[in-house]
Amino acid sequence: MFLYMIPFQGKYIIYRPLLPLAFVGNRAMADLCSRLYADSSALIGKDERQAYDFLKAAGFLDPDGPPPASSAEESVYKPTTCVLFPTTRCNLGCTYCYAQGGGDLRQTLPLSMARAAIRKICEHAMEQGLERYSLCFHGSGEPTMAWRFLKKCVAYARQQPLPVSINLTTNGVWTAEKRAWLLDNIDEISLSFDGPAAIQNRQRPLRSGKGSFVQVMKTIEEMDRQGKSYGIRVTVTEENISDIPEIVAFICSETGACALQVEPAFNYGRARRNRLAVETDEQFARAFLEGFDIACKHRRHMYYSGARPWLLTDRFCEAFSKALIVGPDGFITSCYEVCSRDHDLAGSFHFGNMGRNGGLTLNLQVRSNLLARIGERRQTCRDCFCYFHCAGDCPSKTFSQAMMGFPARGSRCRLNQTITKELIGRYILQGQGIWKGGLQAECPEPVL
Amino acid sequence: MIDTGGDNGDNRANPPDSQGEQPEIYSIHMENKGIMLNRRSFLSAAAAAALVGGLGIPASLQAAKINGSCGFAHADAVTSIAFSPDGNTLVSGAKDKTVKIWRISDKKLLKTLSSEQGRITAVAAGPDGKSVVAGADDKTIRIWELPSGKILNTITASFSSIMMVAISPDGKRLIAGSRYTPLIRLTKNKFPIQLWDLPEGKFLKDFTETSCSSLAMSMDGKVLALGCSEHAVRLWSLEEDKLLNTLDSGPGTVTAVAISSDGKCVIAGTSRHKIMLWKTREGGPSPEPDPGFSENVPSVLALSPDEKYLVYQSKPGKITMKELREESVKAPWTRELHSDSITALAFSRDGKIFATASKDKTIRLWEMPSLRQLGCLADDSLSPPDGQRRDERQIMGGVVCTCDKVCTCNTVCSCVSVCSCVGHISSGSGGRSHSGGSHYWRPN
Repeated sequence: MFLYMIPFQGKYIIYRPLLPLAFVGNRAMADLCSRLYADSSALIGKDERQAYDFLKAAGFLDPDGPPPASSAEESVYKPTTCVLFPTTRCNLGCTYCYAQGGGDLRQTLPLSMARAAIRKICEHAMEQGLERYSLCFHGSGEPTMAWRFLKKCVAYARQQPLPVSINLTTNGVWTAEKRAWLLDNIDEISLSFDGPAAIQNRQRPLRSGKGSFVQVMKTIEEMDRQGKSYGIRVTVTEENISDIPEIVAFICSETGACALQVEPAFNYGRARRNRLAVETDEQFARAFLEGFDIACKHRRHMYYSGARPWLLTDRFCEAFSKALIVGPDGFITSCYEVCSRDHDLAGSFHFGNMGRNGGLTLNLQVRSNLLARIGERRQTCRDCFCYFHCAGDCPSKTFSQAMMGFPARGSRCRLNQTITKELIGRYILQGQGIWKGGLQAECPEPVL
Repeated sequence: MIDTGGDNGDNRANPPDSQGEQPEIYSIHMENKGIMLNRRSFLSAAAAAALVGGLGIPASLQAAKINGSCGFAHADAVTSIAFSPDGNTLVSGAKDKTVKIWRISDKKLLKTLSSEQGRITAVAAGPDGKSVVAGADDKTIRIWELPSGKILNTITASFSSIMMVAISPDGKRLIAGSRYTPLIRLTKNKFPIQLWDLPEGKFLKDFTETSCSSLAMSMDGKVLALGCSEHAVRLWSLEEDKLLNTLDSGPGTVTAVAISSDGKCVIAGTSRHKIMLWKTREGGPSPEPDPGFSENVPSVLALSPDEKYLVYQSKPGKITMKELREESVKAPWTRELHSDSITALAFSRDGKIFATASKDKTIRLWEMPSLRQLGCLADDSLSPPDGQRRDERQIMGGVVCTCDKVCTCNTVCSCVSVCSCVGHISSGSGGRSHSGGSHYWRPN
């Protein structure tokens, strides 16, 4: 049973995520909802008749829909998405990079390993009767720096018997030649970009120290010109939390990105070294929501991964269940961010290796242990209204180094709860008093 | 029995004590400092009655079999479609490197033409129904004779992939376009939008130096509209061979353009998710009030021949239709027509049939303006295996989406725009019994 009463300005957001349904009521309404939820035929008082009629019409008396259940599928590891980390090399030197891309360690994933991984994933997808499989290029450097590798992988992936959807996560600093090829050959692009020139150039400089803004904007202009669908991921540091509204306004007015993901810099890699990780969560939540309202006016979808009321899931991240993630020297990891062998969490998140001959060795016990810990952690979240949204939050950000237990509910939880609650409130507003799921098309204007 | 608790896995609390209150619900409003609760409840107000009344049959919970069974038209994504001027046939091109000719009356596949090398990116039907033109990503334009299927000519353009083609009503001129401005400019074929002679394939002229993403020709062949990257739609008179006007489309690149039969109404979608409309009045074209925003970049749009309806893809697979009559008060409405992105739209010349093509490999025909499905153009040799037709599923409007993509905190999750809602249809599920009582959540 999943009925949540979320305190909201002296009243309650009455929330049933599995219907879904949300509205604001007083204590008496919450009490009535509680009784009817336990027993839809419960006796009601004469004074409750009107409220009862409202609840009936709104669908409150309907049973919950089934909860999302990917965990059952996870016991058998048959990923249908291939994620390759082509190289550790990078043409930028971002101040908060968790992977410390472009550092002294220069590795490039051997093509034989990539091909073996692609074949394996395509086989899985065919076994499962899927129409297509997925191939993603991601960190721990800039994938387009391994240019020949990337082109060969794309060609190889398209030669497989099943159609493929190819995704690239990139910084967008491309030459004209690369730009033309990538926009013709890559299906989906996730662009890491921090917005206005001053911010982008400070946080995401070229390796030479010069700004990268102009080059990334050329990529954006070309994607817009072609009507390419792409999303932008913005990383916010402790230094520029208050800039979120300006960043969002800039991206909405200067780019055609269909989705905008805003994430706080996490305390790892260069963000830790440079003390740029976001620590003031209340300030981040406030600035995020201000940015959200701006994005809403531009009809853009903006979100933070810890607060997704529009998404029902039982896992924060599906990388470890749906993806085979191959690091630049062949390690198999459960998390994009645990992307080097010397990462603090490598012992718990790395669960295999790919040999140069393409042979795949998996230690499924390590994976099972991780899944068990994630499952245990989520059980402790059962009574939180974010249970189906952040779903226990990001494992690599919440687990302790030694995996000896769970950190106390900390600032990430508060951040996720604050933003989720406020977003549900906005959806209720947009639904003129009642939210029945999905993203709303209309954006409310402030009452001055 | 309701559990009580606080934080760290034990965060249930006693149910609220109503203390003699009447149950009430409250609306919310937006202030500059954020969302605020309205002071007055509205359960007993007239607005609530309307709300409750409106929810009597909640539209958002009406299950609808959106797409019905539909076989594949092509073996890969369909990229372009065009009706013949008489409306009897439809031409389609796809990434599977084929062009197909379909008879509308019985939805029969008449002919399959192969481009051999290039993936087909654009098609146009000749005015007499005896020829078809297709552009491909191998920089070629092929002209076939119908019904023989014989290649009349192959034009190799010097610019990159051909993305747009159009034929003049007299069948003597071909306009072809690429989205790229060539990096190396040659003495001829310099610019991305070009005019060619048919059927000889002789190059006649360039239209613009600017990169353009879309073009549309009026049905009378007099006006050509080019959607360009310089925040403008350029209108060319093909009769007088001169630039008629440049319409300012505001920030962003023009991603799609449509023009009315007589060339007097122009519609453009921009990369800033906006749709612009101009109507020619005395003194030249003037901008009309925004027909609306699209939730995604409107990469395809179309105008019905009677200029009553604007149709555009507002989300992948979803079409929004807006009535353009000035007296109309109807709000635009949206409907899911395909299980993947729609790549092309076309109205028959009489405006009675509307065709949609998609990355999902299907082509569907719809009755206008009801959007009742008339059927699919399916190549029987391509029917998908039983049980694998994504387009047969039931989709419930208004439900929270789950995602069939790998969403992580490191990749922008495009679930909302890409995925359709799957599962979580509450009706008839009976719910599932969980242990424990209601969860009264109190923040830390």
